[in-house]
Amino acid sequence: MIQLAQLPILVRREFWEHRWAFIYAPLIIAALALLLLIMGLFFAVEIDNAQLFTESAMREFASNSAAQKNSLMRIPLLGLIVNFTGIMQIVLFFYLVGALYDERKDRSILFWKSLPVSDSTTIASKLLTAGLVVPVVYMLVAAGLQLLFLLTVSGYALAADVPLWSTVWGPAGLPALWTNMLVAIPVQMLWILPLFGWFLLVSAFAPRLPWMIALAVPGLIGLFQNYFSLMERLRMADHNLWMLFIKRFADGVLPMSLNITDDLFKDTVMNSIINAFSISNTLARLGRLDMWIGVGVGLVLLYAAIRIRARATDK
Amino acid sequence: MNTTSTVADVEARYGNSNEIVIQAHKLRKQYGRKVAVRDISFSIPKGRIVGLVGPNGAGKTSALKAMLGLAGFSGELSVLGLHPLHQRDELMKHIAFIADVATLPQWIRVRELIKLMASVHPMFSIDECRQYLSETKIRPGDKVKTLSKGMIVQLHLALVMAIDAKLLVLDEPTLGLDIMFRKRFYQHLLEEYFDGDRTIIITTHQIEEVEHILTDLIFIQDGEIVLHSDMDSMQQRYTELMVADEQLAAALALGPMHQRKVFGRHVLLFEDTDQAKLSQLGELHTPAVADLFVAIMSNPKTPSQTATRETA
Repeated sequence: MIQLAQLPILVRREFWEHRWAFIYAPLIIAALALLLLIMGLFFAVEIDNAQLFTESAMREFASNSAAQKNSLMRIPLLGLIVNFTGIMQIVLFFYLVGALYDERKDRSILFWKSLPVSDSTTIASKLLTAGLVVPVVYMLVAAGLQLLFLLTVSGYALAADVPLWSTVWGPAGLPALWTNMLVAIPVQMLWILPLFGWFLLVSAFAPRLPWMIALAVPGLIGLFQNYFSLMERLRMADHNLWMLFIKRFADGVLPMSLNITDDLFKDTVMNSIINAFSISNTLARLGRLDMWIGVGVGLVLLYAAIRIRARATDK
Repeated sequence: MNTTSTVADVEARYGNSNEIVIQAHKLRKQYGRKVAVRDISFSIPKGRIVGLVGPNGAGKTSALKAMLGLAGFSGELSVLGLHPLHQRDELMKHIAFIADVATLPQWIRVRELIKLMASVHPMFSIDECRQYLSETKIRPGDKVKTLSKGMIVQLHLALVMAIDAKLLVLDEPTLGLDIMFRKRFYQHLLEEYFDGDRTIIITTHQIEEVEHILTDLIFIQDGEIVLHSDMDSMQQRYTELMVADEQLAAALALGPMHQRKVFGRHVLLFEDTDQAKLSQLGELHTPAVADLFVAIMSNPKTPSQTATRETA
């Protein structure tokens, strides 16, 4: 049974232990992004042609069509999110593979198990931390950075004497963007559940190097699948586990990467990237079969992790 | 002759309730083919301070871990009427334990630990914990990592003693502490913490420091219980006789279970032997638990070997 009343303090416990990864890391990313922005603006002022946000560029931007402005403005806003989601995925991977492993390694499991906290509550607190609370923290910092970015652009817009709303805030569409970021977090958690369940399971049983086992097992299975498929039918396996694994990881509902290519600025390509991150697309994920198969697999793996933790001790 | 006392005897002596805190029947723990605990059966009534004594690798820790729901086992085992593995989270509301030294997480701060305990443990008292800590040099902002080994033990003891537990299990609780703190700790355990409703199980290698507070003693060797007795009947059952060289032959004729030499005099340990007869040969003493332990452990064929106390 999961004791809901204990979850808040247990999640706080995770933040005490992982202050750097959960709080300082996104702040450092934000600080670096801010530094780059300031440096960019500084150089833009230094070399006074073909800059991004000098007054003449601002006026040129304002003369675009509304649709173009929307697209152009959302590129940097989504780009800012990607900075955070990329690092967050790596942070959460290492957090989860260590979550039930480190306590066995440093023997603190003997202390944690002396508390009246059930194994399912412990694992629920770790899943909640990785699936909801950490993403909320990262997205809050990302939203703060988006706001700072738009305020900076607004400064230039004022100087260039172009209308603020139709040039900056309108095209940015913050309310829709932020709502989508918020809705995407729980959907992302469901989407990534099979991977998170797998990471926690490995964390619960791995005798050592849990991160390596977490990657090597699906990797090797995928390799064997392809090997036998090639031997038999001269083609790659249909449902290659490693490919499914990578797709789950990279193809989340939060923007994980912007495939910036040479033809990015052709309207169709740009629009497809920009439009990919929308509330309707996020919610559409809930209607997909592969989503719910993943949830089922995730729950089975989590149950196995709970059972193993119930028998786990320091050796 | 079966000389082990029954629970009824013990209850008559201590006037305690017949509430059983721990009941084990054919408890067994195996690691692969190595048997750590060999089908032991025992029961521990409420209100006792039990010393669990045995050499390294005897199975003490394995037996304790089974009682605390930290490891699987076979056979029957009930602690406070609960199954230690299946009902561990319920059981932990009423048990406090230190399973081993240095199990507190290194990264945590003292105040975080206290906050956590207070939030998840219904029987934890913040005030009592602060009271215990005020007698040490530990500060709320300290990280466990920065504390000395002895201070970490002090911190863990403070956390555990602040729990209003029905059963307290201490596995080598004072390892790494100086003699002053050890003495004070056991004094405190007896005078402040122990109230007759609580049950305490202690394992330690410094048995001489705890023997005066114990009510019961369990010796364990090679996964089996070789002695389970309350202190009073143990003192009646075992007698230490100190004799000079002249009386040695006569004393040996009475069949001592163990013999050693101290300052040129012979110290013989007898089990169930007529005290009047013995007193004619030399000085009689109550044996120290440590000496008794050595005698029983090095005497594999004594009848007490199989003397375990079973309850009906």
